[in-house]
Amino acid sequence: MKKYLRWQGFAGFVAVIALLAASVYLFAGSLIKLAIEQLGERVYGAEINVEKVNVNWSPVSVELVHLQVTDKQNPANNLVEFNTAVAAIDLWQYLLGKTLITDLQVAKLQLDKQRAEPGKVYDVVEAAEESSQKTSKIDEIKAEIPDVKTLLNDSNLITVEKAQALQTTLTEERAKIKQLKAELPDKSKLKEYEAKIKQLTDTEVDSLEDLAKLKEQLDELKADIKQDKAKFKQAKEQLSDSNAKLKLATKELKEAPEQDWQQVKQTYQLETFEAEDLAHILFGEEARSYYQYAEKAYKLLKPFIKKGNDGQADEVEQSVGRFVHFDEENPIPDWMVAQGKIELVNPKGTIWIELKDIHVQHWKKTTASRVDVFSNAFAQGDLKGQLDYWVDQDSNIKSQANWQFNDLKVAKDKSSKAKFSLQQTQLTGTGELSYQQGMLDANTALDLVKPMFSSTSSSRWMKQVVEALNQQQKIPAEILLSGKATSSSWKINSALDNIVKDSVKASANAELDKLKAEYQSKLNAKMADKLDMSEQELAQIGDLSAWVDDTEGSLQKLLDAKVDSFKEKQKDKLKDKVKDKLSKFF
Amino acid sequence: MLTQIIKVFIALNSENSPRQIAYAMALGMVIGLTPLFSLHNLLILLLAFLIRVHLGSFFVSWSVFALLGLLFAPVFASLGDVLLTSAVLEPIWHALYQSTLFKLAHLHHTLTLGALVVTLVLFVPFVLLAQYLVVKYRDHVMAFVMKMKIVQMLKGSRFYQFYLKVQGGGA
Repeated sequence: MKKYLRWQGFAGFVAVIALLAASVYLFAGSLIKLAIEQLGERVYGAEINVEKVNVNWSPVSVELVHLQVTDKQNPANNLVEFNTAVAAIDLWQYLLGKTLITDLQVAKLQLDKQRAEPGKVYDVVEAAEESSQKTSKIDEIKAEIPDVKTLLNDSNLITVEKAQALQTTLTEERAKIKQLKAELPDKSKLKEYEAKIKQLTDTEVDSLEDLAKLKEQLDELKADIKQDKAKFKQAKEQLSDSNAKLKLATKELKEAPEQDWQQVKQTYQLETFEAEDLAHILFGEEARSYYQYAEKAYKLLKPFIKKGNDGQADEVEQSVGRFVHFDEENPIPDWMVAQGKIELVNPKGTIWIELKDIHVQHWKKTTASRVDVFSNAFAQGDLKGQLDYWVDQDSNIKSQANWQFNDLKVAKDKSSKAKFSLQQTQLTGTGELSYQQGMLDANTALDLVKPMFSSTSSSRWMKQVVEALNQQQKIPAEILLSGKATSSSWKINSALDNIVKDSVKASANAELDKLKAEYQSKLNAKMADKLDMSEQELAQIGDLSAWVDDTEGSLQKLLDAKVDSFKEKQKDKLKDKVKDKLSKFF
Repeated sequence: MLTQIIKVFIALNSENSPRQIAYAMALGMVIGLTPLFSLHNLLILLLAFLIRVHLGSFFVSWSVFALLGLLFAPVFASLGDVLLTSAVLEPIWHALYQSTLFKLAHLHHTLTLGALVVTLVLFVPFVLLAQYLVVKYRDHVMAFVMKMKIVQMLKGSRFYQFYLKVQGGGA
């Protein structure tokens, strides 16, 4: 046995193990620091700094001191930084290949804090540019909302066009009617016809020659009357046509201001004014920055959520290996934060975040992971919220959340450069959220109590809107978020929206009505002075039409009566003659 | 490191059994290619110290294969991944996973398993090859190497003389 073994070698073995243990003990902190900075930067793509890492061995815990993660989109700021984070680790589970943090305490976590000097970015993201473009676009939209005068100076206004059309129609129809009037037979001509008929009626018919002559004269008169009747018919049609044209032109002018309003709304997108712009007006850049933070956090956490699935491994992991876990009797997730507390420092106040069973493998531990958020000194009010989530084996997240906030003071220290902004108010409200398979459905009902809006615009119109809003004691609003989490659509239902829209519409409508009245009065004056044509004239055209109808009717009646009478007379005369001749025979 | 190289040089040219040198190198290969902080490496280290293998060769082999290990880590990890996610082997892994020792040995880690499988498969061929090469070296190359100026210089150096004095013998 001695030939093969050297027992003194055991001492050497102990010495090497002791050396390794001592190296770990002495350099563990530095190695963890190096790993966080080097591997973290490689995976994340921007500079990560850790001031110091302390490892305590009994119980095992790791303390990170002053960690800073550069914001890739804004390297002058940190995406996240904290003063200290102490994670107590279950060593036995760690040796078995699982990271179980039994307790996590994070002090003074801050988001978007300025760095002492800009951090290095290795993986440039274009989203920053996109974001600034979006912001400037909002300002642009605001700047583009026009003044009423600008709107009305637009020569393409339908009101202007229709007023000019009415004037043209009036001129044309007036000329036609004038010409027609001159061609129409007057009352004297009617009397002349009567006299002629009387003369014919009184004419003695003694022979067939007389009758033929009389018939010839009667036919001539009939032809004259027929000709004049045709003129009346033509006049009647012309009057009806002119009347219809003038009525149409007048109707179109009356409808033009409404059409102009619709066009203005479409051109300047006043209907879509509420969604993004009102969110911007209500919460300013903060709303966007909070949303962007949620987006960044999601992107940062996404690899860890994917990692939860045993069957998947990304390229970075592939190079250094990974643990593959199998079903076991009492499974625990590959990594988990059993409990924790985070102190999130925000300029508006400190928010406390409590964590319970945070992991991404809920098929192994089915109870919900819970995040409680609360603060009693946030924006001089208080807020609390609770979020539960579950992640399934396909990396689908299901989440339920609810929140309440009371008397949150929203106030801007300095006046906004925006043409229209909310200077101060108090927010009170509740909300809830559900998220499943990438689809988000969230709503928040809130009241803006005693809001104070301001405007840098000199527009009378904008001032009226601000005045109307500042008179409100409370403006209720509802913020709805739905659709895909990565591109969800916002909808804001609020009285604010209606007040703004109504003010804008009322103001624009008033101006358009004024314009319409102005054009109409100008047109009326023109009609009265130069064209001698007005509403009264239109009525006269109607009267003339009735007179033509009456005259035509009376003439026809008169003619028929006289002809009948003549025929009767001739019959009687013939009867008398026949009687005289017959009496000679009897 | 220079000491270790001299030790290997001396061993190659000494009366040490080629088998002792070959086993030492094979053990060094296992510890070098697999992740250092693994349970099986504790056993390898213990074996290297307790069994009469040439320690100098063990440490040199460990160092050389540790560098190669960094180079081949992705390959080993891929192999481990294939083995651990294989549907055919899943019942075996599932059964082994119920044992704490299996998990403590990190055999469910792709890199550890992949590297260990490769080193265990290569162990016996490596021992045979190394043994063969040592023998061949002593037969054909040693005399030529001993005549080389650099070896003469090395043998004449104070450091070498001091080492022989401490060791209490010459090659």
